[in-house]
Amino acid sequence: MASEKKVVFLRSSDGEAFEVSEEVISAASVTIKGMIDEESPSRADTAATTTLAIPNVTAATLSRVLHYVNKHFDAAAVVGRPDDYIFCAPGDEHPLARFDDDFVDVDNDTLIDLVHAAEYLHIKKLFDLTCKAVADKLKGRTIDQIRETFGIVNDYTVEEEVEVYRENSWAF
Amino acid sequence: MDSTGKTTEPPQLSPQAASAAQISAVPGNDDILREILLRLDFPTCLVRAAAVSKRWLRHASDPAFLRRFRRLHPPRLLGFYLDTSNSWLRFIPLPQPPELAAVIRRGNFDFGRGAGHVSDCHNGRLIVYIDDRPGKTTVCRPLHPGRGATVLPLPQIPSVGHDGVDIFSHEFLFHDDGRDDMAISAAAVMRDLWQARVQLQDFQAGDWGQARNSDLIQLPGRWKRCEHSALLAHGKIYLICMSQYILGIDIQSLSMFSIKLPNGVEFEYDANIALSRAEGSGFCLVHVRRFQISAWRYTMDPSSTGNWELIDTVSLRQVFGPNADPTWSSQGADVRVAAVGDNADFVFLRIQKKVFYLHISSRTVEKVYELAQHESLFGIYPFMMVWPPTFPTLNGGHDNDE
Repeated sequence: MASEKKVVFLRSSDGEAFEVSEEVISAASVTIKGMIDEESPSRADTAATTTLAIPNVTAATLSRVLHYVNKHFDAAAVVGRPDDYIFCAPGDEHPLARFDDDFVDVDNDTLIDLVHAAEYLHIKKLFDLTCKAVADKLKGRTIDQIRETFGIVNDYTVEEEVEVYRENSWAF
Repeated sequence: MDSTGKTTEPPQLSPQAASAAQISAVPGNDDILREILLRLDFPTCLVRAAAVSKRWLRHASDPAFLRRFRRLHPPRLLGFYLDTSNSWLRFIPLPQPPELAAVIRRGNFDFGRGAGHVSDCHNGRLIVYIDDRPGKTTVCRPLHPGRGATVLPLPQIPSVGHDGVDIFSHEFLFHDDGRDDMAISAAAVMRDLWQARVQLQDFQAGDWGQARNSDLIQLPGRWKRCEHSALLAHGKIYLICMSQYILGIDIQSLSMFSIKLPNGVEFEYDANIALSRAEGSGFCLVHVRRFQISAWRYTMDPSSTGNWELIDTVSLRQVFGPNADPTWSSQGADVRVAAVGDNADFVFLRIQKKVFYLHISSRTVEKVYELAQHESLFGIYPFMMVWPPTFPTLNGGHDNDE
């Protein structure tokens, strides 16, 4: 019994429950670690498995997040150096760089959901990765395309817009 | 998410604006938006993002955000201006990622016939002496081809003779502290062997202001000519002009002072030392002796006590390795510091007929120019990407998000 790994269940906003190793998710998510620590005293004397409600994250997003977490934070699966490579070029030497590239190669809405989930769950590496991916999407686009892609209303007056362009004409 | 950024957050949005922010499709909250903008890598991308909406502009133009952006993505060297005996001033671009290659393509880096000596080059602007133009001394902005060049009127000629000193140089120097890109001082440096004074004029509203004169000071060493222009950094002008000292002038008070060079550093021959701007305060100095480079930072504490700090030392033999020219040793070649980047990030070195770019911290070196047989090198002026962008201040402190 003692050697068996503890698991927790995470219930998404739409009611689906996902099983994950307590050790792995605690290493990954500051938010969930905090929830588990709060639960601990009451858990010690029961054999029941904990289920944590994650009200801000849908099942579709949560399953992606857990896929990422299992790849990056399961000590048995992780190889190579553990740390920060967020500002490295894509495709460089980190062993999970390829996985990460594929992971964020998704449509905008999915990506933004992942950013929000990473922020809420406080998973720094995932937050860095997804923010960078959004930034990369912005980079190749014109201003109108950015507005269209992200549904942003242009609230500049013509004069104000001209001023941004004129002062930084090298950027356009 | 990022605890380091927390202390400098802009004020909370009003409840109304906050709810509007949440329904805007993406990215919903300010922390997230800032973190995304921070990862845009290039100022060009940041400017385009700022043009998306006022909310995005507000984040992109926040000073604390800009400091973080700069730390992660320091301004890049786009190329350098080269002044030699064989041609007018020319721009030599260095290889760039596509975003910045496009910036170079859109700019106008050629000032035509007559362009020669560069007095100062800072943050996308140059002060160039152009012989074919009536006023000759001209402020050029290669990244703003639409704005044209501004010809500076002639500053007042200082009176000389009464105290025995002669004019040594006229320096035109950009101020590096404000947003006004026409903040310039003209300094006429006058000296004889053991004393010096300076006449200073500031460019205001299209003309030179009243000339101001420093007192004549006695020098702690004998005057020695250096080919490098003066440096203006954080309100002070610095001049290499003695073998063991740098001469400094405060542009507000016009007080002059001498800074003793650090132990082991001496101005021996033309361009074995050179200065550059440093972030925050003070300045940087790069010194070369034989094939050894040392980079220093000079700072002054609040009680005006100066302090030299050795930043780095580089052995050129190690850096060049097998690529070193065997004649350098056999002919006792001098290594000259042709230019130094801000914070001593990089140097341009001249060894015999070749010019090299050396990035100090990464120890990478590449040949960037080779002088023809009878070609003399007059100057090299690194040209950096503009930073920060010029963001407009929009009306009203509370711009609506939607």
